[in-house]
Amino acid sequence: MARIEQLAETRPNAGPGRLPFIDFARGVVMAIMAWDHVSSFWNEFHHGGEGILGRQPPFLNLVWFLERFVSHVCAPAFIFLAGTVLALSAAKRLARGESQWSVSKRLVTRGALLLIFEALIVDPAFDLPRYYFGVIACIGVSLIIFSVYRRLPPTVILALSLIIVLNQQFLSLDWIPTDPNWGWYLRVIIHEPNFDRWPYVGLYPLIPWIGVMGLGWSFGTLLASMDPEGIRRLKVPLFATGAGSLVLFFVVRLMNGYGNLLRRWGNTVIDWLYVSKYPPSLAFLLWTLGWMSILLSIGIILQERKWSSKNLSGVLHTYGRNPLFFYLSHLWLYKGRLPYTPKTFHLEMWQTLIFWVVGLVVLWQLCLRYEKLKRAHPRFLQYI
Amino acid sequence: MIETMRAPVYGKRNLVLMAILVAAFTGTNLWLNRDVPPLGYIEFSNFGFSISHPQDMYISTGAFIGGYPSRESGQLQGTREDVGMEQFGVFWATEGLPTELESSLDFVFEMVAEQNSEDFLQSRDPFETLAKDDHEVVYQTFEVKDMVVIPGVIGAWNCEGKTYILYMAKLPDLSNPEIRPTDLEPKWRTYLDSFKCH
Repeated sequence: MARIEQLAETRPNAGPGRLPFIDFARGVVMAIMAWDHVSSFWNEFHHGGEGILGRQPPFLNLVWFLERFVSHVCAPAFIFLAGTVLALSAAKRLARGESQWSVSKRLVTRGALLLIFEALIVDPAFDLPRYYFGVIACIGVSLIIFSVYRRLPPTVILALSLIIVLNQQFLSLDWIPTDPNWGWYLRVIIHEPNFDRWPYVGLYPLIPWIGVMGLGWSFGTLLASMDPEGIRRLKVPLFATGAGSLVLFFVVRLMNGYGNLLRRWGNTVIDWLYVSKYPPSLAFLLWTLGWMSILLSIGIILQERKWSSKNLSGVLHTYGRNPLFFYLSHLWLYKGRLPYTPKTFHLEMWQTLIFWVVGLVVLWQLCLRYEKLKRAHPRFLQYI
Repeated sequence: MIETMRAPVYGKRNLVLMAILVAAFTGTNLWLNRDVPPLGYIEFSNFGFSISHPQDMYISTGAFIGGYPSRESGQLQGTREDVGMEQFGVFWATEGLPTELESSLDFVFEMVAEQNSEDFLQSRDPFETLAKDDHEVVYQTFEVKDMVVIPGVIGAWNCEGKTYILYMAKLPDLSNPEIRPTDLEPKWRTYLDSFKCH
């Protein structure tokens, strides 16, 4: 029997309830992600595309490279923590007496809704076609897969997730024909992100992202089995895991072979940090999940302090409690242009920074109001 | 029941078994794929050798010493222009090149200089050596001028009775406005590492 079911059966109130340190970490990456998107909408020299089909688009200079690079942590943390929350939520629901079927049905519904949100809200915000397979669609399909996959024992899910993350670069999709559009699109969805054949485009393939979600699920399964004191003690192992991951990142970059979908061509800062995001290389995941572990550790430390629910960390917690609402609303908030503004109009970086901060304040207020609304209409808004 | 609650989710024995399985799977893949080009790279294989290059490069072949490219002699050129102009190339010949590897490189520079302006060759750094599959490779960095100064790396070695000359050059771009020839060595070595004569 899967361990998470055992926990549900042996602990009538399985699961440690809402964990503010997860909201904190998620809130931090949401705020950074907002920077990446506002910059992509308004800055002439902001761009991405790192690693698509082995390509390495050049950046104007180190500053423009770093302003993009800082946002790398967002997608991995977002997807990892989605897996964590999924495990915690499943344990809680099973403990409440919900059936396996009900939990799975809920995952399929949520996954399908995410696919709809991607097509109707996210893709138009990025001026992308409805077929675009982005981060929300990737999470949506992963949730649907997890509705079945989650029944495997936790150790098996952990093993499969590690195998996916560590072996993704060896995956060959040569058996899928590229001539028909369906074959091309299937490759995009599985492991070959690119923009080469419109509208069958995508950046977040299931492999290795479902492996990252599986690692998050494994972490969530661990949390669901712990009491608050045990979770509090995780701050040191989490920090050590994060630091170790960052050290491994530099080892992988130094070796310049396995784990690098984009090689290091020299010894400048850009050379060392320029890693493949599409798809994410092992080096990329070591760097980003390493920082996420450190953020989780900081979140646990903050959780122990009474003032943590106020000031800046309180704001970050608010974002983290409403990730999907934040995601869907921030895109359109930052994309908004005044009427008759030409598309070629760009902002300076300092102006964009001000816009970002003002937008974050607006989003904070929106999230607070949305929380109230959700409390008033929990059934109607349960999936957002 | 309390004991059951506190039992670890991941038993030590299971974790050890899992680690062995993951390590074995990954190790096997590393071994099986040791010669496979990285993502985004494809392999050119013809005329008795193979080399991996970025898949969005335009590849052409032509004559080197003799009328047509063949197993005996020829040249291969790969060019990429969309994300910063970059070029790599291979010359090969069974005969017609000086026997000394250094002289073979001199020969190529002289040949290319003849087809360009007088100030085409800007600089050549001293020769260096490295080993590839038990063969000595003589190489050097250089700069040539074709409107702008273009840095590059070139090297020569013998394999299976043929002399091979591999070069790469990269035009400075927005992110690398001042590329030094030595900056290109890691990438040139990646081309060299993927090269196999057969």
